[in-house]
Amino acid sequence: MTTEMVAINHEALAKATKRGLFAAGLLAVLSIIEYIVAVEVAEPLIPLLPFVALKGWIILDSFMHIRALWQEDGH
Amino acid sequence: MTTDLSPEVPVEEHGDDHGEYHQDMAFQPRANRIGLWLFIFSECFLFAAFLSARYFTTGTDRPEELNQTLALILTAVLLVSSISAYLAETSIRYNHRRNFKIFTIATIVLGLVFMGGVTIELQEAIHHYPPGTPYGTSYFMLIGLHAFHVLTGLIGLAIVLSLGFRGHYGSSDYWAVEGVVKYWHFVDLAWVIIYPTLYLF
Repeated sequence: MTTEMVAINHEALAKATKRGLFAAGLLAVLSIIEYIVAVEVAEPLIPLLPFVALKGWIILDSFMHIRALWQEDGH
Repeated sequence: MTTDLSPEVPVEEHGDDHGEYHQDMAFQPRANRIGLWLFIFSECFLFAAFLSARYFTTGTDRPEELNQTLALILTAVLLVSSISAYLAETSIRYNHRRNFKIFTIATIVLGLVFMGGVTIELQEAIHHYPPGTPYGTSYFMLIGLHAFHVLTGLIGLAIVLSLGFRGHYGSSDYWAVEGVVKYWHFVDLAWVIIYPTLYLF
């Protein structure tokens, strides 16, 4: 029973880890593009806003699990 | 035996009422989460006030002397620390205690590296745009406010790590870890907005 539970946890852990690393990769790519846009564009305020919004949402959703707030089971 | 729970009588003395008491406690993590989110939302207003002060005083003007390379490195460090914090929380959620400790230590180390970088940054900044100048005022307030949050996050992580080494937390009891890690992600989220505000716009 215990061994089975651990095996299930490992599988779920690997899945959650993969999901987190994917989000982190996305954040890294967006940060690099954001930096290039800021360096290349003369007035970068407007072009950079979508990057800031997208990065913020990825952190809120993938890392902070904000959607758990309005889901029945919490987490 | 009455079902009336008076505040003067300890819960332990109520015998059969324990079931009701534990049922109430089952809602506690959800209540904790809502409380933490309310705290985070209130923090958002604080940061928003400081961010708007920067745009109000200097618009989108920024000095040429800003150390862009160091700021980019600090952004990367904080991003990686957010990943390690996420992995620490995920590990304890699935009862992987060893990884929980490793990733929490990694997060603390990365946080300290970030603080070291901020110190270097502030030493450079004080020569080029001192706190008395319009940009300097916004810069030092925002960086200082954020650094203070990083520091408190590090203290929280250190407490959680210390309790983790003493055998606390598991897959059914990791609220403290979740709370501290969420706070750490908020610190990262704040930087996602502060970084372009001070260095890129």
